[in-house]
Amino acid sequence: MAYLPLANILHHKLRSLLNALGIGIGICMLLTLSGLSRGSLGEIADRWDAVNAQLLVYPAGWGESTPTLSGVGLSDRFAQRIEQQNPGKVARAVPVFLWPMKVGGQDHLAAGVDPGQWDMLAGGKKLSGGRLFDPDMSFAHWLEKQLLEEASGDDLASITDADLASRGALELVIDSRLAKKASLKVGDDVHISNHNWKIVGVVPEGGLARVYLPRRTAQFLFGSGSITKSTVIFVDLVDDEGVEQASRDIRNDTRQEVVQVSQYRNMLQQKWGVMYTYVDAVNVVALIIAFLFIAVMLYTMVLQRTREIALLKSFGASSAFVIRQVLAESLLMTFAGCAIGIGVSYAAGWAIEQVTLYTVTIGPHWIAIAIAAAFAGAVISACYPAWRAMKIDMVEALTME
Amino acid sequence: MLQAYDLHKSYGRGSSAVQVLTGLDLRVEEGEFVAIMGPSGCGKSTLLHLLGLMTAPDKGEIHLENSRVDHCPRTRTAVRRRRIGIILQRFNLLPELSAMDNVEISLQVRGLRKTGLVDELFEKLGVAHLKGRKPSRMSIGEQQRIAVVRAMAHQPRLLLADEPTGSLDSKNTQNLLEMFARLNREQRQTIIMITHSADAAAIAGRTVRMKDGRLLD
Repeated sequence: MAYLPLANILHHKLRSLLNALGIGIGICMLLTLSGLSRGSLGEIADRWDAVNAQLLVYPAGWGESTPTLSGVGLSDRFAQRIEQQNPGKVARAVPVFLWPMKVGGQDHLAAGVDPGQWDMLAGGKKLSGGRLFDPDMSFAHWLEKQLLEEASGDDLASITDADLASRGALELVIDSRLAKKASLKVGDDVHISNHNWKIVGVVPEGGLARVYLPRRTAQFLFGSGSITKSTVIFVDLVDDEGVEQASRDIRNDTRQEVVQVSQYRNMLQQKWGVMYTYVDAVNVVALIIAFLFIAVMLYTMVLQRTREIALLKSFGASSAFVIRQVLAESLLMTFAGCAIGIGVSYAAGWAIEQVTLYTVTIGPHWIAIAIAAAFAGAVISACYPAWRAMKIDMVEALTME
Repeated sequence: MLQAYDLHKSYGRGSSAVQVLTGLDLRVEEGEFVAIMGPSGCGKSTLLHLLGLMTAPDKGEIHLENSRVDHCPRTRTAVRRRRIGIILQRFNLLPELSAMDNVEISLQVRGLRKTGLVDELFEKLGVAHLKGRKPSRMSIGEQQRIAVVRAMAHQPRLLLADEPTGSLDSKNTQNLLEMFARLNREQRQTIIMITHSADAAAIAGRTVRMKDGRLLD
């Protein structure tokens, strides 16, 4: 049985392809942009969730900016105090110095941590190659002796890059995804933040950071020479059940902000809520443009095919039949556009992840939203052309030259 | 079967309006084969459009099978139109469909399915080999014959034809006219055919002549 809308689409192959591409680009923008923004933030939140700690302590007054801040925050003594004041409740409190470092052409929040505590941040992952930085803490002890025990400004000035390098201070562990993207491997030298570093280990991705370095190095280089303060403290509790109580106790004792690590995802989303709004607004505009495209195409189709539509009416086609033809053509085109858009989105997501360290997450609910929006747009944009088709004067259309 | 009283039809508005039909009366009995002849511009095609319910008269009445049909609601008119077969001067085949699909879409609109009659019509009009071919790859005569198949495929009670042999060679003209005559004779098909050809008109049971928007007595 002849199916006119499909026949019409196949008859005008180039026009149909361009229309489907127009819709597909709109769908692709919606899926890729939302997948990129939410995927990248989601991936960061997943990595924070992987940390083997329940509580996060950060300086009072940082408020909602916490997810993006780095550098000097609170005294390392809080870590000792938290452990001392909560015996039997706190397994360990680990100070971490966070600092942005540009590796492989992209900024990463590097984590400065003592090698003995690194396993907490790695989320249980083992090194897949090389070794940990400053494994026997020799540099950390030397620096502590220089700066904390002797406390001399002259000593601080006399420490050179060569000293740092020779004592194993400028060593990095990176995750496997960064290693792959930046083509780095164990033993490579990299120049970052005006210092020459050596890659000493690679860990599978999924831990807190993509770059790890000795906490003392991070504090010394990026903490203005002070090695007494870190950015945050992660607290691992003995009993997961007592998280709320432990959180209150530590907050009352330290007068610092204490949140559950699992809340970090919400903090991140709140921080970047404006970006979501912006991305969603761009997506809406992209979809509106895509459907204006369909509306113009259908309207042009109706104008071009007045004779055919008049002919159908001369056979006795009802207004509903004519509307169905226009609507079916719009929906078929949208179906093809959706298929193209979803396919291209997955391809674009894969390409983005290959070229950059961003993560594109195309969730089924976003696909459902995109399809629903596309079909709603197809119906709305078919309304006026369908109405015009219904109003075509048969005699005029069938007798005109 | 069909009665038209005092039909008036004009095109255009105001001073540019052209009066095409000026009080035309026509009566066609069931099973009758009527040929309408007349000079160009006398209103033959306009009469056919009115009888085919493709447009409404400005004044006058049309009765089809004892029902007045000239100013019915759109939906009811569409349903009545399905029972009429019409062959227009321009064949108006859908370019995106094959010959067979062009016939099938007309059946689909009417809520019908293809029957053996369709293949028979293709055979009789010598276009069986064109079933899968699109109009762009047919001659004018071939397109005309497909349009005839399409108009007759649903066995209409009333067949209206506007110069159906205009683009056919003498052999196909003869075949088509013989088919009309046979349908009229054997199945009492009511046919109203517009033609400029006296030979074609001769096959009809009655010939009426038009001039200046009216039938000549």
